[in-house]
Amino acid sequence: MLQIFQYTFMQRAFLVGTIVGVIAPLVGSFLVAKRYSALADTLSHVSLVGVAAALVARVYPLFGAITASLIVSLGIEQLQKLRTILSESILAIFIYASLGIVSILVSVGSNFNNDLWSYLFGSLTTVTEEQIPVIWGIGILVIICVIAFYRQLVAICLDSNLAQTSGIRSGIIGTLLLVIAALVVSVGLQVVGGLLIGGLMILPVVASWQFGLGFRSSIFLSTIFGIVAVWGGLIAAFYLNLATGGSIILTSLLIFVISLLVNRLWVN
Amino acid sequence: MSSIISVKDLGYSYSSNTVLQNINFEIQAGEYIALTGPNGGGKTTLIKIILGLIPVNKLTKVNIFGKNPQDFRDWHKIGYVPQSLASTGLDFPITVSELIGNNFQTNSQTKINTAVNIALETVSLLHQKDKLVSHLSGGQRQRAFIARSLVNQPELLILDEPIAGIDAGSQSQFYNLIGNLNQLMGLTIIFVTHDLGALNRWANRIFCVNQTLVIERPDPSQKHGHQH
Repeated sequence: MLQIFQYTFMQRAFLVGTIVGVIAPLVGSFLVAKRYSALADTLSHVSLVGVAAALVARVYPLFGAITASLIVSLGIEQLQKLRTILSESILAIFIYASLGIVSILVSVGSNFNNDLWSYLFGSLTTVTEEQIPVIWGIGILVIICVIAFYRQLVAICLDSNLAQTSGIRSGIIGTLLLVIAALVVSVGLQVVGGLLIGGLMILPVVASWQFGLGFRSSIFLSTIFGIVAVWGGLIAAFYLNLATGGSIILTSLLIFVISLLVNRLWVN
Repeated sequence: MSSIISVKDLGYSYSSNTVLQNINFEIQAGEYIALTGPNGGGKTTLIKIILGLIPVNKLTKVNIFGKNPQDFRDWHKIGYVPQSLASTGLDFPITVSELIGNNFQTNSQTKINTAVNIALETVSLLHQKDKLVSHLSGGQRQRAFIARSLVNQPELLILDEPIAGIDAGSQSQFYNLIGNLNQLMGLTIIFVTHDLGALNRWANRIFCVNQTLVIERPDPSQKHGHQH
């Protein structure tokens, strides 16, 4: 078992995967509570636009992902204020627009299909030394934001009007949630890829909710599940020669199934 | 007595539909106001305007605790339970103490625990402190949200159709609870409801909203124990 840790690329994979395994369900907890689960998928598709555009422009793909997802997250917030479009329709608009743009960029770009593929399904084992401090920096920033604004984030999950009458500027906090979600999705592209990062944000959360705990305890448990999913997925991928992104998500799914069974058999 | 809420010449339209027009009233400290009217008559809109959740033009004179709602910052003076929030429950796991503590504006866990316990004792729900809100009955859930609105010891409590979806027995307990908050603690109450029969016993005045506002007095022969 220790053989896996002898490889530098696996050490980097565990380092990066661990912080993403924490922040994905940490932010995912608020998205699920606000019934924004589809937002993770929307932002991941948008991030792929940023990656594709960055590859065409030959700039750092992570910056492209972050830029695109931040811009769109703010755009989603503005469109929701219009009240003439359903929230779920807004998300669908951005998903399909992003897919359309990516397909066009792939057709006009040259020789970056392999790079784009790694961002679709993740390429945790190709993380470079230079990426580690960037991803960890973003991760720590996300954690600090959640801790600093925890009360306000919970309030907007209850009800935006209720939050507003508690002195909370629910519009700003809602935007903050979208921004940190965008950051999580962007750094998650490297770990599990754009098509799967939503799973790492949602599955550990739903699994933790099976134990009948309060919100704070559920968040803590979901981050444990996130870390276990990443480590379990990496170990399975290494020894069974499987795709890391898919292995992580399937491990997370297994945790959810076990949690569901535990709920059915013992909690209730 | 000082006026807690003052509304003059209020009119509000949305997408060319007139929702409210010529609304004028004042609410004094310690009053119990029953706010009623047909569905779509503007009750919730009026509440949201008073709370600053719906902005109105500056020609309209709406004041809450002497301030324009858009400039109001002393939110600890107000407890608010929005329409249908308690009756439909919550979709995510949150305990009763977490729900109530979330409204208390401090980082001190000791102070939060004390305030939460006081609020829960007021609504007789202390024994459910660590239970998930989603596991409570409709009436208990409603009391949990009341406790949340009381945690900052407000001066004004606004309840928007709080009894929807609650069984008759729990409704009776709920009316008594709110009535006691008004009579024993001097809390100003605005209670939005379709069921005026029960509120005849408690309310000072009845506001009937159907685009315009008609103010009535409850039938004195149906009131008991009212001190004003």
